[in-house]
Amino acid sequence: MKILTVDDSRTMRDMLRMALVKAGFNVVEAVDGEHGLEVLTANGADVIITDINMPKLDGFGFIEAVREDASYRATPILVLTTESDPAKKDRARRAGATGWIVKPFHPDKLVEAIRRVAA
Amino acid sequence: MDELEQIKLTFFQECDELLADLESGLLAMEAGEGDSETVNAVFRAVHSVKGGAGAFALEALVRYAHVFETLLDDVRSNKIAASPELVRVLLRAADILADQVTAARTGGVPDEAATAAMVGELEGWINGQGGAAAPAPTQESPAGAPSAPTDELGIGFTPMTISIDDFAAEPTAAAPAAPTDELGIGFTPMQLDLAEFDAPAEEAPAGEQAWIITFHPHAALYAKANETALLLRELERLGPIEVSIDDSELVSLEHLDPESAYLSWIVRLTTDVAEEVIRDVFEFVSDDCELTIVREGQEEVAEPAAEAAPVDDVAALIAQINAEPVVAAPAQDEILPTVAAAPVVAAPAPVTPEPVVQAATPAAPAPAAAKAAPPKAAANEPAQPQATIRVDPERIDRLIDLVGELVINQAMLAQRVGEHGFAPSSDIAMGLDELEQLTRGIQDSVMAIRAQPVKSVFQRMPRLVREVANQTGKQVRLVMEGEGTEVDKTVIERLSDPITHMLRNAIDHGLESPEDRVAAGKNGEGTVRLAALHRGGRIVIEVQDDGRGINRGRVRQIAIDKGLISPDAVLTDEETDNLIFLPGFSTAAKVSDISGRGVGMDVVRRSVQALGGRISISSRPGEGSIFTLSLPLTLAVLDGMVIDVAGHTLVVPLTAIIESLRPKSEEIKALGPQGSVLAVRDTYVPLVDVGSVLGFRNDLMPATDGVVLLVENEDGGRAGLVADAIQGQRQVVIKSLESNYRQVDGIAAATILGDGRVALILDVDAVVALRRREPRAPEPILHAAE
Repeated sequence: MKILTVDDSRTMRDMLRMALVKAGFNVVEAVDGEHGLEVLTANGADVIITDINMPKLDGFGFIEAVREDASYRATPILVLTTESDPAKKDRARRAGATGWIVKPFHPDKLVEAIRRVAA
Repeated sequence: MDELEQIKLTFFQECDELLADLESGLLAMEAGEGDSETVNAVFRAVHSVKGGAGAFALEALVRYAHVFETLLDDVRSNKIAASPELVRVLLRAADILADQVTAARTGGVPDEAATAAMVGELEGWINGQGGAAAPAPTQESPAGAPSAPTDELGIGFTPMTISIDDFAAEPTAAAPAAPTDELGIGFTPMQLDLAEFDAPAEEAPAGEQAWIITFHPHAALYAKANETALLLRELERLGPIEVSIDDSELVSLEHLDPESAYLSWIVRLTTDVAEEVIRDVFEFVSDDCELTIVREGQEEVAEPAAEAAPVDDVAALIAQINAEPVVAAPAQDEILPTVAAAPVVAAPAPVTPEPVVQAATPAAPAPAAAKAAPPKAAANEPAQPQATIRVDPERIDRLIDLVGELVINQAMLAQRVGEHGFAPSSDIAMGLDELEQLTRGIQDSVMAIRAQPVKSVFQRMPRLVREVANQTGKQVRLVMEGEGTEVDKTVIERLSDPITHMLRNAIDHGLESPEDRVAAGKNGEGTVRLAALHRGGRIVIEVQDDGRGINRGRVRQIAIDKGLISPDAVLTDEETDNLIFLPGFSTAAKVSDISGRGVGMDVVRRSVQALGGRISISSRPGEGSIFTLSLPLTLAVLDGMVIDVAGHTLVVPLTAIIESLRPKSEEIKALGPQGSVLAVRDTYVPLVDVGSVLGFRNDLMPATDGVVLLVENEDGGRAGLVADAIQGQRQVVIKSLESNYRQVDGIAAATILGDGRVALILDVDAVVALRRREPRAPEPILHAAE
């Protein structure tokens, strides 16, 4: 299963990659929403994990853009939220997010969240 | 180093970048240049520091960053205006964040009092008490609950410790290790470890319990790519399930909206976990469905309509799930056959595909792919903004040492070949020429690897300026120029101290108090300019202030009082200014803690000189002063002119040489008993007999017997160095004389020549100054312009 992670923080991308690769996933990465769309178009993805606060195109805009594309309407999208901020979570949901992962995440929790949204 | 440690290093590297972004963003805001993206970037910087810190359980850092971030979020959402007053607070808050990061990195303890004070200040702003600029305080009890908005840290954000073992763990049965096992719905009860779940064991009711879960998804659930099948699979992980479908709401095909949800599910789950754990399965979808979870036998809720057909076969179940008109289906052309083939669609009316197609067509969105930029680069390499390789600096240093040896070796080889009488056109000589070019190319490239922009030093200065301004009660605006100027790492490391001293001095002694400035008709805020530039093959750092300038009368008096000059000495303004660099000179009535922290400018000058650098000051009364520091671009190699002086071989840095001349006797004019000047075009320059200045000979050599190297010193002054002969131009590897022998006046360093002999490298300015010192009188004429 291929997972696209979109986060402007190198640390967070590294953490995600380490956890995901150890759990047996393939990982592709992008550094912001715009880059995320490019990487998605070029590589495709089975699950997308995205940050919210990013330069150029933030997580909300990125999710909306992904959902507009018919090919990715069924692609699960998990957002990374730093706190369980209900407003942010709601906005991400309205944009089309499938679920969320609260940072800092435990690797098991990360895998569990993916399992809940991906076949 | 394990992977997690490696990521931690990455985190601290990233912190440095984020802190730099933070500061430059805040400075832009301070200068009134910030737009909303600037504010966003500032917020993101702190947010990212917090995010990473959380992952490494750096709790103090998380706690502080959280308060900082909360205030920035308010600024970002325009709840609080970014007044100049607030931005200044934010800048200081950024300084403390930097301290926190440093403490986290080194395992040290940050200044708790300073942190607490800043947290209080930030919270004051958050609560609308920070300044008049804060609009409409919405806090109901602004004074009563100052810490309310921040103490929820524990709720929203719990730092955690992750051990590498967590990551190293083999994918458990829980992990979707077999992606091909599509839905994985089997009815065999699974063994579950309670510890896998959030709920503490004691919360779980003893023994197994049957639950009735009714689940009616809304269309929105599918629009977000959630899947009923996956939820059922999750439930099944908790215990054996029996699933029935309620299709009573299903409409006939011609009325069917493929983007709606018509089916409900009734699940009987037998499990020993608590209700919260079951509810947790629906965490992502709870807003997009109707959900009831009750213990079996306690269903007060009316059974959701009709006879729900029990489903006892996996294949049938999956078929039913697929039959649900799912918006999430990948493409329109796949929706159609699925719906048409759905076994549970019991619509009586004979239907043709057309209505469905019509229903589906408007729902199919225009592909958005066209909007996305064309795929960039290779597919599997998510491009980093800057591709860099991290290398241990020691490896580069080793490489530079080796290349230095190679340069020497190549020069030796060339000399040997010359001695053996090979013609310049011979194969060997030509091959050596090529080797020399290659060697030089390698050397340049290697040096370029180690070159760094001075930004890394400059970016520490705004903070210093703020601190000194605070301590001295002065208002200072720092302007930085040329941060991208590159210089060798060996030099970068030595820049910080002198710059720090110069800046402190400029603020503490140079700038007046705001009141004095206003009284003098100046802006109350002083300006200090810090600039880096390349000039004459050296890096020049300038620190300029628009303060009161040097009080020459006072400087002179102090110098006389301290016996540094004789009372009747005649000094130029420039010489007077530069008295402050003399050992034992300190103008501050009380030795200020700020300027140089009790270290005099003489120490600064000596350390700069030890690097082959120079520092000087010039000043205009009432208008300000300018410190000029110059250093070689590298402390590793030097392009030099090899000359003979009284039987010695010396090297003159090429960067100092303007031209070499063979003077005619009519161009030389005597000046005083020992001095002479040389007419160069329409100017006279003083002649310096290197041999006598360095003590190689006692008598002056007539300049007409040798050659004159016209050199320029740091201040732009010129002089003519008299040498016996010129051997030629050569690149030499600098060997410190100081560390191998001791410091010698007039000599900057030493090198090893091609024939293996040691040659001294001249310190041109020092040699010129040495000559001047002899008469101890003021400089005769430096620019003897006619």
